[in-house]
Amino acid sequence: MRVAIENLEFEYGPGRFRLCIPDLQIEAGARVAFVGPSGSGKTTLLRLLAGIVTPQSGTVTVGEVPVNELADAGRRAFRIRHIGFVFQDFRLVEHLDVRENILLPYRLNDALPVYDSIESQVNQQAERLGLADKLDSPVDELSQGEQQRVAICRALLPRPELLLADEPTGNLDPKNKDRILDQLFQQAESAEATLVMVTHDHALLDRFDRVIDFTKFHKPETPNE
Amino acid sequence: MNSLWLAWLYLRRRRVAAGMMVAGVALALYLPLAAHWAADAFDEALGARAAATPIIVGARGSRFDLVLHGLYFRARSEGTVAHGEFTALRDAGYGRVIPLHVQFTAGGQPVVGTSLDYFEFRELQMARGESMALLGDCVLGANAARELNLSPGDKLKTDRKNLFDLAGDYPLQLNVTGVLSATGTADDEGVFMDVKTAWIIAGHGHGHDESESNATNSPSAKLVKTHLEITPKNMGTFHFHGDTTALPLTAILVEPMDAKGTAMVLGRYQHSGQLQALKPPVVVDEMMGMVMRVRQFLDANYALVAGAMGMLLALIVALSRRLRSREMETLFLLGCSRGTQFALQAAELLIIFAAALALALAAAWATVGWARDYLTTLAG
Repeated sequence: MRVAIENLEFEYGPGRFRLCIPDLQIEAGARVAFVGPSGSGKTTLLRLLAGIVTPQSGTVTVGEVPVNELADAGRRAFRIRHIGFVFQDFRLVEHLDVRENILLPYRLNDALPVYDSIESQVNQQAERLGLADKLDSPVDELSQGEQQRVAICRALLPRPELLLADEPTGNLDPKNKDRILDQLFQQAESAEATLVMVTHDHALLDRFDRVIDFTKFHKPETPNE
Repeated sequence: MNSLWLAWLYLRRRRVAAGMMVAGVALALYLPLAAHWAADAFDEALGARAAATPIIVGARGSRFDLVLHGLYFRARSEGTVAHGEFTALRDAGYGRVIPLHVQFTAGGQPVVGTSLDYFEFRELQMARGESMALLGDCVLGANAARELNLSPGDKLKTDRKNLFDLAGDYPLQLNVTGVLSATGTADDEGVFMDVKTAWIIAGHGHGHDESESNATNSPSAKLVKTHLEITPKNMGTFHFHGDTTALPLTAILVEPMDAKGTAMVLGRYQHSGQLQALKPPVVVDEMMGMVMRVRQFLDANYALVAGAMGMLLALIVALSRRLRSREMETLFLLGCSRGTQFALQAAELLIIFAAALALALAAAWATVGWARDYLTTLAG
């Protein structure tokens, strides 16, 4: 699924952080890394691509759909059906066990109907990510690394066409870091999905088709604006 | 369905907090439920027995006391009605007339002196043994037999009213001849006997033992006797002194055969200075009117409690929303609409209310079930 951004301008509020991207194209199936200092807008762009927030001007097109022009419900449905998002802070629901956290998007959205083999899909995905024996554990009893893997498992389960990952290896040890990256790349490849990942780990950049440095997109607000 | 499932998972994890909320709501629901059901059960029990008792005649005084005395054998101190009045009513042919003498207890159960007509009138059936036939015989209500652990063939001594009154009544040892089937009414509590036996307990009649006539006539010989007993040997010696028409009854039940009979009985006592005739359904309705007013007062209190509970719940929900704002944001990020978020919280409240309602209903049902027997005899 290709991504196209044109004349994008976004700000959280007057006098606050502002992101300006005149033109950005990401080809379908590409593996792209976003790098740049903290606060340069990497996570914000992921949220714009996912339709969680919308720009003040410009267009964000994912596949053939101008995401920012959809209504709230349309953006939500599009995100659920086509985009997987691994959040930096995991975004797990602490009163649910691992299995229910992975299944949560299905429970919450009619756009993702629960199918018969969903349980076996969960088991397989958990097996791949080393979570098979943790499925019935409460998530707040897991280590940071395990929680990260649960978040990844949840994002991968619907086999998204665009996978957005916000520092998914940030909390992992080297062994698990490689394992998770392998999984992400493998899933993306098998589903012919586009992978966009935010990372601060420059040792990983060799594995990506393209690296986008965000320093050039961040436009500091002037006092007069 | 998913909302309910997720709500259940949330509450299961927060079981202590959820349990406290369920308990609080259940208590707020239980109190009015139990009070209403108990009042209804009381109303129903009182009303049914009153409806089955057309007229009660007794000494003037509290109308409520006389009706409760006639229906529930509640002790009454306000005067008596002469046996002669009973015979006069019976001979007038207005309908069925039944004497009642309820003044004593046996093993804590009310001693009911009456006639065999009472059993027919109340449609009482013998569960075991036989009906009373001789002086000194008694028949026990189902609960009385169970409480006293007595069966046909056993003996039962009446309670002495005053331990220090040597010249007063002596306990009479009764022969239990039968036990009645349970009716769920005050009859289950009674110790029934012929009214003449009740008069003997009251000291209006007595017999003579052979040993008594042979003994020295010293007061000490009488003092060692702790109770009376009517035996086949001494039964023939029992007798009543004086005018038997003046012997006391505590009430008379009348079942007129028609409206004219009813009018005649009521009219007979309309201007009497000593006696009154009451229609129990009317008096009970009046009594229940008072209960209703108390109930309305309680209802207002329950409404206030429910209002306070509602406000507390609203506060808890508002605080919970604030505490769970990150969780709600996560749900939003995972594609949950605001409507689904609302449905989730509504489902949590629904489960809490359903659990609380089930708990309150079960508790109220158990309470009223337990109290039903107590309520039916409450007036007694």
